[in-house]
This record gives sequence, structure tokens and C-alpha cells, in this order.
Amino acid sequence: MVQRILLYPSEEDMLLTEFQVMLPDLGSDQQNMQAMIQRYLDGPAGDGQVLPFPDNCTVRSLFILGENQVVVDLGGPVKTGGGSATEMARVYGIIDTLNQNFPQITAVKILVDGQETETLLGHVDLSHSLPPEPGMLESYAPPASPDQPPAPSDSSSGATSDAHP
Amino acid sequence: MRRLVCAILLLVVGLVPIRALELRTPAGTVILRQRTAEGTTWVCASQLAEALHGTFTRDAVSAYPVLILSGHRILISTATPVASVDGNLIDLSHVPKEGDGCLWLPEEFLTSVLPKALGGSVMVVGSGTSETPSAPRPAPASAPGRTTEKVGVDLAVGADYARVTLTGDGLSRAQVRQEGQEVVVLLAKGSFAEAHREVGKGILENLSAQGGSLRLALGAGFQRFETLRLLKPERLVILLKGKEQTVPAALPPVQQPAPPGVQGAAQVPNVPPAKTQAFDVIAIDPGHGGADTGALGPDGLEEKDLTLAIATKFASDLEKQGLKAVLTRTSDVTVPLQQRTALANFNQADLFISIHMNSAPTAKAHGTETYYLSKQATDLWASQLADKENAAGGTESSAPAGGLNLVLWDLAQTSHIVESAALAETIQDEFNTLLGTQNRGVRQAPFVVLEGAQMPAVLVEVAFLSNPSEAKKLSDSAFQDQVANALTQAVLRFKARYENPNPTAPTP
Repeated sequence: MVQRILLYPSEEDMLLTEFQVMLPDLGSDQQNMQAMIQRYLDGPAGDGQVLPFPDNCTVRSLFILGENQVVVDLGGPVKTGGGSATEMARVYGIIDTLNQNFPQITAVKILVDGQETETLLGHVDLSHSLPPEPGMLESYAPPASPDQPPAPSDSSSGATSDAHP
Repeated sequence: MRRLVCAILLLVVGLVPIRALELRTPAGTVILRQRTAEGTTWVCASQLAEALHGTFTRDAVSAYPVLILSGHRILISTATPVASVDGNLIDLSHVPKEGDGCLWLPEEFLTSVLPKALGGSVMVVGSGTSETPSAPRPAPASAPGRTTEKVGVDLAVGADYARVTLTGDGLSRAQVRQEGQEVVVLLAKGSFAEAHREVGKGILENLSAQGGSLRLALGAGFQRFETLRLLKPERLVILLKGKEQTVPAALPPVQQPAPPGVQGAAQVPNVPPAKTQAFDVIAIDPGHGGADTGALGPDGLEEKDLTLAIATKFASDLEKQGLKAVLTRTSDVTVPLQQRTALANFNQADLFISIHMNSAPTAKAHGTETYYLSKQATDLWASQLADKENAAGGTESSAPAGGLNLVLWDLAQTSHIVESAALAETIQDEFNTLLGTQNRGVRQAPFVVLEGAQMPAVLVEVAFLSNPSEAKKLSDSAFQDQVANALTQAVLRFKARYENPNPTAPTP
């Protein structure tokens, strides 16, 4: 078993917070990534978190492209719903979760039903690969400018777990 | 269109004579039938599987075609030019195509994908008519040592551009200049492969080559041209840009802001409106519309109706302040995202403000947030596109629709990011002051509707339709008035700063 950190949106502000799960080690990065994202879609999320995707969404396929890119092909009702907060949580929930667990992955391309799609809900451009967005993390603190004192450190990650209740 | 092209290609595939191809693999030599189309040869996937003692089937979940060879799983896309071996993606130059009971795989599949599965090199060593295995293979067009180097000409034409890509050695020294109604390319060495091609579009009428010169006959829609020189392989790209009035010709009948209480929209003018240096035109984009309802709220509330209601009030307020408002839609119609910024560009707007209502899968989320374009994402795209353009073996044919260079050139918003951030901050300030909604802050995102704007551009998420309290406010006309007023005050503040950027600077 391998510990994974799934980044689900907080029900308070829709920013991503950590949720630890234990998943089987399937042997290859590709298999482990696909199983992790399927687990992400299926839920459940942790206390105080919400699932950004509706029921019955699937990972149809996942490819590793070169050393640092992944193509995720989603299926099911991934384009139902509305609001940029929901769309941002869906897109970066997947991208930031991949990057969190496989730091070498720095660009993710999302397909729907095997095809390129302009957006999921009318906002985020999916016609290109996207990098992780640290600003979507609730724990994110922008770097202080050199002439400012360092921001107080925040040791609380907001992590919850289904592996160690 | 893509389906039509595929259908035509399949017809072409069906017409060409069947030949044979000899394939040498670590498992032995096999003979495969091949067909020729699109400048390459194609083999049937099921025959390939049979010859190599493998299996050709469909993936149970995705229904993708799958070849299983030597225990390795090759997943094949029929939508994009890629295949994967055990999950590792490999780019192809052509999309595999289905027809005549076969999945046709391009020759590149044999040399790029098969070695990953078969654990050794694969050679295509011969082809000929009548399935003759030992027939000599013609020398490839790119064989080294040729003395009569021809410069290739590739043409792509869109609604407001024509792009001519020349490929061949010595292009870095080629001259490009406009001579009257022609753009002329003069090679320093070599000659063109193409003799003449009729285009008949508004920007480019035809192109003709003779020896080392290529002449592009310009149409009435031509405005200007740009060039870009690329290496590995050496290429010269000439982008002919259309006059800006060609863009709104494809737009739905929106615009000129209707005065309060007046129904209907004015016709799109045939020429861009006169524009002064003054800061006086604001493009307002009511999000969603038509079949795209946007987010749904309680009691049948639809985001598209609320965005239009607020946008109309906002436009009216701006008019009262002596500013001109340009709406991307004035009724419940579908407007593609790129057309919204195209309209703002056409009207030479000074600001682009897209109005939206938010939604979340939780009733707790609430507040206002304002977005501007993500530089991190667009930097990545530019970097990836540049890498791909300059990669050895990279070809224009692998470019996404619209062309790589067009994407780079069209990310106009990246040059306005600092101003967009300032506008977003100003809007958030006004919402805090005038509306008292929770400040969710200024954020960056790669939103399609912001990418093409050639002016500071933001997207405002006013409040959450999924929050019962905020949904009730949003449906209230008086609250919509307050939102419009907050947006107007933000525009006026930004305008003041634009016109007097440093009013309190101390004199030296």
C-alpha cells in the first residue's frame, strides 16, 4: 500500500486541502496515477471537504508523456454543473493532486471522452497542458517580497486522513 | 469538418493500389499489405497483430483500439496522433484511421511504437506492387546528398489569417518584402517545389512559384504580414493578417449598447469605429447565454440571465458617465468565447470585463472574486509551443488547429497582465466598499474568454448562486443595481489612474 494525498476543495472556500488515503501499489507510475485519479473522482472526500465532480465520472485512460507530462482522459458527466469555483476545483484538483504525489509531473492535459475540449464548464482553457496551480491550495502563502519580513509559518496543513482516523 | 476530411481520406485510401511492405522485427520478418495516402504508407492493425502473433482488440473501458504484442499493451487513439505503450505516450505524425474493416496505422507507428513493445529495432525495408516482398523501396524525398533541394510550401487559411510555411535549407537568408499587392519571397539558394495554387480567400488570392521566387497575391482583406524564422528543420513562416473588420463579420448580431429600455441591438458596423486616445470604451461580457445556461440556482435562476441583467445595468451606468459600453451580447444567444474578445478588440475597447455568477457543490461558499489571466499557464504554453516548433523532426502537420505560431501571436493578453491585475484589485475594493460581499480576492486562471483580449481584461464572479442567501440577493433588481454601480465606480477609478498615473508624486 502507498500513501497518497488527494487535494479536495474545502466546503468553506473551495480551495484545495489535503486528504490522505492508502492505495495499492500497482507497480507502474501510470497505473498508480490512473488508480489515484479514479479514487479522487469516486470519493469520499474528508471532513469539511466536498467532491468537485458529480457521480459516475471515470478516468478512461491516463498516459505519461515524456518525463513530466500526463494526459488524463475523463469520461462521464464531467461537464455538468457550473461556476468557475467548481471548474477550478475540478481541473486543479486533478492537476495539483498529480503533482503533489508525483512531483515530476509539471504539466497535465485533460481530455473528455478521448477528445480535446475547450473547457469543462465554460471558463478554464483545456486546449493546452496546464501546470499545477499552487494558488489553489488553501495552505498556499505567496512568497514575501525581499523588503518585507517573512510571513509567519503556518504549520497546520489542514490534512485529514481515512487511513489514520 | 474533421469528419469530412477523414471521410475523404478514407475514400482516397480505398482508391490507391494495394502494395506490400516488408517489416523486419526482433521476432522475424513479416510481409504486410500497405496502402498509400497523405504522403505515407499505412498498414492494417489486425493484419499486423496476426503477423506478429499478437492480439488486436478494444479496451473494455475506453473502447480504444488495443494491440497486445509480446505482453505489451499498445493503446491507439483514433482522435489524436498518439499511441501509448504500457501507458507511455508516443506522438505520431498521422492519426490512425478506420476504414474497410481495418484500423490503418501510419508507417511511423511501425518504427516509433513497435520497438517499444517488441524490445528491439524495427525496420521497414521494402515495398512494391503486387505484394512483392523484395521490391526495392524508392529513396525517401528527404534522402541526404540530393543536389536539387526544393523548398516545400505549406498553406493554412483561417477566417482572419493565411499562413504560409516554407521548409528547406537556406531559408534564413531568404528575403521577404511587399511589392504592391504581393508579398514576395526570394530564396538565396534552391527553388520552390510548388508552381501555382489558387486560394481565393479575402486575404490571399493565390500563390505562385517560379525558380527561387514565390509570389503571394494579396486579397482585399489583407492588412499586414509578419514573418518568423525557425530551425530544425529550417522554416520560414509568413503570417498574412486580415483587416480587423473581417473578424466581426462572423459575429452574431450583437452590439452597440442599447439605451435603457430600448430592445434590440444595432447591426455590426462594416469598419472599426473611430477611436481616439481617450479612455472611453468599455467592453462588457455577460457570461454564458443561449444553450449555455451557466450555473443554476434555486427557483429556476440561471446564471446567463443574471449576467445579462447586471451587464445591461452596468452599460447604462457607464453611458451616464459619458463612457461608451460595448456588450458582447444583448439577448439570450450563444456567443463563442473567442468571439467575445474579438468584438472587444474590434471596438478598440479600453477594458474588457466579463461578468459571471459563481457556483460550488456546497452551499457554504460565498463572496466575490475577480480573475485575470494566469501568466504561469500561458508561459508554459508558449514554452511548450516554442520547444515543439524548434524540436528536431517537429513538423507543421503536428500542429494543433490554428497553428502553433498563431497561438503564440494571439496570446495578446499576456502583455496586459499587470494592468489587468490592477483592474481586478480595483473591482474587489469597490465590491468590498459598496456591496460588503466577502472578499475572496484577486486570482489568476487560464480563462479562455480573457486570452485574446488586447486590453486589460478581467472576469468578475459576483457571488455564489449555490449559496441561498447570495442567490436571493442576486435575483433582486436593487442588488443588481448595486453591483452595476460598484463596477462603474471601479472603472471610473481605473480611468482616473490611467489618465493621471502619478498625481501625488513629489517634485524632485
